[in-house]
Amino acid sequence: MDNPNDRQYSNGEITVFWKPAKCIHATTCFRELLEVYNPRQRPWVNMHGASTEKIIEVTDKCPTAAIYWKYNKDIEGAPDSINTDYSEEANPETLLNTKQSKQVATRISIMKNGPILVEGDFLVNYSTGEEIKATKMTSFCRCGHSHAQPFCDGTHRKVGFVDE
Amino acid sequence: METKEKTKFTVKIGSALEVSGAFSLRGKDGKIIQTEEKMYLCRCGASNKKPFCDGEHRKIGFNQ
Repeated sequence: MDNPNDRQYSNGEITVFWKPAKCIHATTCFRELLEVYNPRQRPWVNMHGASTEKIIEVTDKCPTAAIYWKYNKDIEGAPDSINTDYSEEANPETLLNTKQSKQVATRISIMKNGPILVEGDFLVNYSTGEEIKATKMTSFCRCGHSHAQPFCDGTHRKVGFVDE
Repeated sequence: METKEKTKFTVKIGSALEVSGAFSLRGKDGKIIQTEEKMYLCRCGASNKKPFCDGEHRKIGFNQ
């Protein structure tokens, strides 16, 4: 059942779960908490880089729950199927490079009950002409409630955005 | 419009996301949606034509 690319990281109090297949490169995790989420490090998650409260706050902002957390006391038993090899782990940056090499035109994907995901070579401007810094991949807010407008910060899950 | 041209996203405060240039659009079901070379995507969450804008942001007073 578990994906062999999945990983988990614990500080003794909580465990962060990482599911690379769900990552859409919103980059919120390492923009907001590089001390914990650093794609240049192995493992890329350092659970001792910040307080439990801070890790929870930033982890909750992941737009797709590619990273999510649980209190260790709420985890029943030890999941023995999880891969504990951290030398070969995928992280948001290596995933991005792999995807980019295959890419030709800008791809825009509407995420169900979530943001507008954009991948490719593109520019982002305000209508006033002011340029907004963007990477090769970003996600725009679609629920209207992000605190990081025009980008997604995961708030759509808190407000229960449904795009029916 | 040349296909080599960079895709451009224009954010208008309190309004839609304008997209122009060469791009592909996939809906929430993963299927390609055919569009013009310029489109307006809903940013306020209230459009009745999602993912596209239908002007509803004015009615709800969207100001982001």
